[in-house]
Amino acid sequence: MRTVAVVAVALGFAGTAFAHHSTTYYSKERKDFVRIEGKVVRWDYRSPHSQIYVEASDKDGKPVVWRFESTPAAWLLREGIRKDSVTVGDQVTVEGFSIPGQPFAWLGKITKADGTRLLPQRSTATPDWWTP
Amino acid sequence: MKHIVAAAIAVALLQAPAAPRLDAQSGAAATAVPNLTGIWHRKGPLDGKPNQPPVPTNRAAGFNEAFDDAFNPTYDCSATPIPGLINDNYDFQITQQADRVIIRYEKMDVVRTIWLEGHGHPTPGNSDYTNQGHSVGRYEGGRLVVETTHFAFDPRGFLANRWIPGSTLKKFTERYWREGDTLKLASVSTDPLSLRQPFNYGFEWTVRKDELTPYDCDPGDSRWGAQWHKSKYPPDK
Repeated sequence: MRTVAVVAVALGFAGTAFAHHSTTYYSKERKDFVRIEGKVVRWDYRSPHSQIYVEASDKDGKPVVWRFESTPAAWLLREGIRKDSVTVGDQVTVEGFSIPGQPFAWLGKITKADGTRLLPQRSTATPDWWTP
Repeated sequence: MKHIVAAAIAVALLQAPAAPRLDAQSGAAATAVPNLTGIWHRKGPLDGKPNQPPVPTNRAAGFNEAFDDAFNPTYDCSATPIPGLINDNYDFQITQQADRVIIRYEKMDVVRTIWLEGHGHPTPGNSDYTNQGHSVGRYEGGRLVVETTHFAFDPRGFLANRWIPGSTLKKFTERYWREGDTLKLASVSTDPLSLRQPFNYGFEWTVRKDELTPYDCDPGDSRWGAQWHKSKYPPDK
């Protein structure tokens, strides 16, 4: 009986959204938070996850392409983010929560050069401490 | 030419949405057809009451414990079976026809056909177990009642990406009705192998003005995340 109760609680069923899959591989620690300034080199507006790829420079000045993962196109659209909200070549600042040691992160926010903010809904990968 | 006209009429009859009848509270209430046709956007739990999670049997709880995330069929765009398909955060479209109801889901582009009783539809064969099962419906008291059986086994039996498995004995009953611009659902899932008690799930949707967004699942993208999960089990040697 105890096992059953524990499992039911662990499921955390709240009747709202579920991620496409677990995203526990993204760190929620402050030290793994990243803010990257660079140029959009690819924008995949799709399901199950949209991605934005941003080319920036690493600490040695070498180019590195960051991949930020986000919610499906249907959910982005609800937040007013459309396929044409981002264009390859745009200069952006992107914030997110990385996989430690990898140029991959869960997307928190995109800020375009003109100050426009693109803010996907929070997900299970978004740390509680982070505010846009 | 005669055949073409006849065929066109037959198609039109099949595709015409069933007109709502105004005598829903009369003696004909048992077969009154509510107008459920439309695109529906998530609103909240039925009557504002939070849903409770399914309660697994010990064997289902054991399955959940043992399940390794890389096995998640979702990683390869395999559609989540109902009711997980419904309780995830997506919208859907209902189209009522004379002999069937079609539900098209934004999530994973799933299309369900609910075969209305009394139209001589074929029943599933002994081996016909599928991802979304076989759905039969009827109008009852101004509601659409749908009963679905013949589900193939799936680890996502009752919730999207949660591991209380749905066995081939799973049964899912839905009751849909409309109150103004609100679509309501009361559903119950049973599964003698996986659930200790019936799993009730109720929800409401409101009219959505714009079209559904195609899901168009990308398998490469879908499987990408699996590589970062550490297996619960030691590597094979």
